[in-house]
Amino acid sequence: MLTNLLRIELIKILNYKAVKVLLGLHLFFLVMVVFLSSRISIELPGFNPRNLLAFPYVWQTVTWMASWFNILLVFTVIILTCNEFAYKTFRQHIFNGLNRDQLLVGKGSVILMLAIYAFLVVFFTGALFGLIYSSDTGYSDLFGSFHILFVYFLQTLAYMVLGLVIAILMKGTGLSIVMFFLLRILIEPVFRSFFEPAFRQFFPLKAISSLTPVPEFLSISSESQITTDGADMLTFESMGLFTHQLPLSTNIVLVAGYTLLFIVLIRTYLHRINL
Amino acid sequence: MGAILEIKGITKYFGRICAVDDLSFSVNKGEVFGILGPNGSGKTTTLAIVMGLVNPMKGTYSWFGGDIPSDISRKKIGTLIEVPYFYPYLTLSDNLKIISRIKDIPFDDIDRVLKTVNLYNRKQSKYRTLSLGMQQRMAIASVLLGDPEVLVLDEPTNGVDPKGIADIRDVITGESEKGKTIIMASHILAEVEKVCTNVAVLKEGKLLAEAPVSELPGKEVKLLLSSEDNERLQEELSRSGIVKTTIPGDDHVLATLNDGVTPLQVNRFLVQKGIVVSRLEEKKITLESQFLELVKES
Repeated sequence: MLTNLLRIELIKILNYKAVKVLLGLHLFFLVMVVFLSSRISIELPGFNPRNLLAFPYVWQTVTWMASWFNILLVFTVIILTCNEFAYKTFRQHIFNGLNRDQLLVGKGSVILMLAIYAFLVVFFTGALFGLIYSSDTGYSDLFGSFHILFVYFLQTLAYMVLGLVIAILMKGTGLSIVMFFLLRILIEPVFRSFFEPAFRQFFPLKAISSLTPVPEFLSISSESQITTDGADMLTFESMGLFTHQLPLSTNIVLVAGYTLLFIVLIRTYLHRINL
Repeated sequence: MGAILEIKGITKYFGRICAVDDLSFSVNKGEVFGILGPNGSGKTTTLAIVMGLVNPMKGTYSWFGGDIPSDISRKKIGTLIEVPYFYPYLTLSDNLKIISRIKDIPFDDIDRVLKTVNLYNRKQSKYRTLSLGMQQRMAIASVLLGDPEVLVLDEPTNGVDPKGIADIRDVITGESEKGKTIIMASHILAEVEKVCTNVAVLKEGKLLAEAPVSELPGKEVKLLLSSEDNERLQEELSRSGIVKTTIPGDDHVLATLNDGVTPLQVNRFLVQKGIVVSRLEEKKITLESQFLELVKES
């Protein structure tokens, strides 16, 4: 049945212009931003910003840049889910013999497909620019920070699941998008501000966005830093920036937990409502 | 005949409004079962409950004797409730492919159903380009996909032109002749009368009557009678014990016969009494008049 659900969703996606446009924009913006960043040149001795695109740093740089465009993936999920309410096709699927869990699994398969798409886009973009801007690349360099791609994969999954939750609750595309933005830029930040800085990292959107942190621009770009062990004076933390960050492993567990919680909540809600 | 659908004590409120109130009835295999009722009587809510869209607050229902889960049961049912629901940006073929995949039906059947509803030449058209009538025919095509054992139709002729209505009626009659069970809610009573074998009449969510069409309450035979002396005709009939009521008209007497009494017996009786009947006409009792009487009585 899972394959069938996936094929059903593919019929809907592959023939839908809006999805093609959004995914095309996602690819275009990401490649353009990485390309433009590769054109930046700073005339400072011992300072080479192109190191950011060399292996293994390129994975961190590209995933961080890609995270700016996760919003387009969330829009795709919101549009596809809200269409089901607007066209009342969830109802039709129920008539035809799907149950409510299968409706959710169908949308879950869309999210999985989009996350794999985003993963591949980031992988190929990173690999391309990494090969161009790395010298004497060894395998250890190439896959040095490769795990960050899987962290990015989790991030896209978490964002899109949150988008799904909002779309099912709101049912309208416009309202869902506005709600997502409000949650991202107003509701959670305001709510977070009432808590101690160390505790703020545990909020869902903060935890999700922290999965792909800003690369250590200064230390990576500084050629002396790359070759000098233990010189951490140019890290963000040493400069008092991005303090109170959770360890990556803790953050991963936290986001995975939130994602599961979102799924359980939306499943419960979907079983209770009249479609 | 086994029950295809059995509803027991279903109740549903939307806020403070009672949409369905302790409703129970069953539909047997091969019946063309009409659900009648004025607007807001609970017809669509009842169908939405048994099709898994709306959760009842009380009561239960089961399809096919309750041996298989309701979502699997629904794969054996062709359903059209209110208006057709399709993806407007997809072609007719792609829309039907989605349904085929859900119901595990081979794609070959898509051509057959599109030909049945005369939409085969529009197979590759986007659904949004269809006229209202065509959309309804497309909905019928989706209902027939996979040759389901049961059809559930809610106002199947909504928005369809007279030719389309006749076509849909033919489809329903054809499916019924194949032994299919059809459950149909409609407010077009003439349509229901033409195709249904059994009906349930609802009002404000309550079941007023459930019976074969021929046995509905209020199905008495009424006769329009005229003679040279209508006054005497009415007098004799009133004393005869073969009629329930007599009502004088301008140039006739309207008599409601007792159960089992035939117009021939009435004519014989009047001849014996020396009354020459110049007009003896059976007044056709339509489902509509019965329905209105039932709804009014309640």
